[in-house]
Amino acid sequence: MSETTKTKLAWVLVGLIGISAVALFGDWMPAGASNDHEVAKALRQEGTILPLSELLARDELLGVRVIEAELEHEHGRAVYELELLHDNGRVYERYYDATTGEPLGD
Amino acid sequence: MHTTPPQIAVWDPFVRAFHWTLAVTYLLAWITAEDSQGLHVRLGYFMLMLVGLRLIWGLIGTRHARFNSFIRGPSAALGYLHSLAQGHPKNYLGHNPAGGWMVIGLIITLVATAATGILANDGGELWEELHEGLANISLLLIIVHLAGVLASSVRHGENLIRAMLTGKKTRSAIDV
Repeated sequence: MSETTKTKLAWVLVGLIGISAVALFGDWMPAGASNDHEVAKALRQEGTILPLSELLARDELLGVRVIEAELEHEHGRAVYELELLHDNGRVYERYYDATTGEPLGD
Repeated sequence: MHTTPPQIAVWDPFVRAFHWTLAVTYLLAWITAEDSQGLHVRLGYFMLMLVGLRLIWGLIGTRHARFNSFIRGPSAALGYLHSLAQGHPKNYLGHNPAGGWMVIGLIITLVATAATGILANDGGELWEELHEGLANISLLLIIVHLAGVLASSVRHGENLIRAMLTGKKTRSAIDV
């Protein structure tokens, strides 16, 4: 192999590094960065996470206005981050394990 | 008349991408050491993959990427360090002999760090302590590596950090 051919092969390896990085860390991109809507949909369809509607149908969340709902990855697990407006006018943040629906601390 | 010194390609694209990706991965591994265990473990596997590719490339790669082009005996490394301390270091187009030893030292330490980390992940206090010890050794090696790069850059009048980015060194700074 000539040095020129090897340099071309080196570029192929650079591509391999890039593809591996995306494959390994792609799902760790910050939620909201690009297509988290599609990511959430895919996770919901494969049953990895609960539908947001199921979480919002809970007694504790009935009658509470949801200002914002986000799906985040924290410590390797999927977490729903809800911003809630209570009747008293205060805004609360609540976290739920998106797989089990279990409420989490901060 | 002002002329720019002729440049010569030394580090191929893979060597450069490997170097900087490894550096970023290492930094992220330190940041995620205490929490984000899932990400930390993935970074460890990624590091092993990077080093695996580098080992193969060290056998079949371009001239200055191959191990047989820069691995020399301890006397050559000590000789280089001595000449560096005297202020007249011998020029090498690729890695100098001391830098070559650093490459090997870092590869061994990083592989051992990642491997003990993966073993510690399955449980085991001993693996965890070994993992932390090796991580500290690798940090020490990187500090020495940075000091060596700075010292050689100053003594040779060649910005070696830029050379690892562009892949090129100036021919005027090279005499072997």
